[in-house]
Amino acid sequence: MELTFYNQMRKVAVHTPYDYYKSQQQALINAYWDNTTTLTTVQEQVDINTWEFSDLEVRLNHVIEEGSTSLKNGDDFRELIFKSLDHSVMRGLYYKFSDNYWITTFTDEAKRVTKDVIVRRCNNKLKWRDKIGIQHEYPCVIDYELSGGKPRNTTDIVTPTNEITVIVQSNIDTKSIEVNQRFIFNNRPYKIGGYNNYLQNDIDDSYTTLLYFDMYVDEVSPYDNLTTGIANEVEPSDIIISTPPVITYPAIKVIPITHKLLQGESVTFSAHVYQTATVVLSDAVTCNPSGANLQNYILESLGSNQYKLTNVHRDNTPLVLEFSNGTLATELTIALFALL
Amino acid sequence: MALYNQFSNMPYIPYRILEYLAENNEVIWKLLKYQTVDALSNPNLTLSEKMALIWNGDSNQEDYSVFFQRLIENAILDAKTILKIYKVFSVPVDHIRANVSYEFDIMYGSKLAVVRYNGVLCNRGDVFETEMLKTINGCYVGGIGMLQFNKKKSSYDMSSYNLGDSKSFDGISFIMTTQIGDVKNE
Repeated sequence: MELTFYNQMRKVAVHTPYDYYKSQQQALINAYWDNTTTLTTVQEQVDINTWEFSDLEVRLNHVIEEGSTSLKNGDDFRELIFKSLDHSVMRGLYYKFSDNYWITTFTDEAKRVTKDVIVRRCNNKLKWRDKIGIQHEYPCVIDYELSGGKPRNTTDIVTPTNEITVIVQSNIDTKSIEVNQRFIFNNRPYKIGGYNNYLQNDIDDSYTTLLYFDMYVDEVSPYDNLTTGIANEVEPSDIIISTPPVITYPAIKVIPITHKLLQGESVTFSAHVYQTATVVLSDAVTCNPSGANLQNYILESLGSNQYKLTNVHRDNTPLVLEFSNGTLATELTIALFALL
Repeated sequence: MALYNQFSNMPYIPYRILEYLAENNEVIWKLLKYQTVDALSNPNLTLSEKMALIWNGDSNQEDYSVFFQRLIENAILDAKTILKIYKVFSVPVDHIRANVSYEFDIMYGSKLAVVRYNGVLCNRGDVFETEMLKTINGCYVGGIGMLQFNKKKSSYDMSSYNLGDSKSFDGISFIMTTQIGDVKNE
């Protein structure tokens, strides 16, 4: 069909109809923006890989209809309506308001003429310590449904088996989480059995901003710290480390304080008399061994109050080293372990 | 009038085994109480600490580590070491003697399967079994002979790596036998 008038107008018009309608819509929103009781200021995460938030005025709406479900709580879901039609939205982005973190779980560019998202209240924290010892913590959603609640029954033992789904932002830290990694939620450890990181933004962009982890309840390990909520916080090799002794000066200080030595390993001790915590005297300090069999270790004097100890062979009896200057003495007990 | 075996001591035997272990072994109690690789570096348990590990009928079975039965109904929440002692076979030899076999189940969280024993990294179950056999093989627990790990005494006597839940627990079991024979004098 020939649209003569329309085509003539298009030739002289500065804006496209889309621009025109959009600017009219934006003007309408601006005019009526504060004509509501739902207006509130939230904090929006600046970017998916930064933990910075900036203030933003939004309209808050409810999402879940009462009576539609008894499982989902209305206050766990909110719709955020933004003033600007150009506001950028993204699944996985965090918001802060009402003393909670909220994560974007739903976007729909075509739903309304206004720009809005659905956010879900983060009801727990995903805490872990990575391989180089850095602790991470991200708000997460543990879904309502608890599946597989029936314990695993065998004749030998009964163990719990329930499974949960955990939703968290996909970012540079959470993408490093692996299968078998364990987390503690409210004193119970859970282990990752699998995860969903394949909901790509589009067919070519493999980046995803929201992760779903399937976790199953795991046994509490002695290495879990239920107080801090960090699973495997203390690794077995750390257990042997004892509390440093309280020193009353003057005293002989031995560095390093070692309580175990594997077969084949050596350690060099430095022993000095300290008048105070910082004043070191020049007294000679001797080192006298006892306990373990002499054939199972080598103790060498390197001079200048330094002694090198080598574990030649494991010994069931611990080695006791007494460092002394004639008047003061301190003991160090060392277990001579095998190769492992 | 003929005399017949009354089995009077039979119910007490698991208790007597534990009593003997409490008085004559420190390692197994540390393995029950402490779950880390360096469990044996911990101090010995007091007698009351040892007894506190034995289930006494309390409804929270999961809080205990030693049982006189095979089935523990409650789900075990912690990766820990468990010892079960219970009778599995009573085989009469004749009308006044019977070989009574007891099974010892040693279960441990598969996360805790190693322990340092005399400075060497060992399987926790192996250490437990070794210490048990070292202590109770040949001890008197109330029968007319000694408790023995002896194929000649009973063909059931053996150790097997056969326990677990295919998820978080592993374990071994072994069977030992003693002979019971007490007669009623009418």
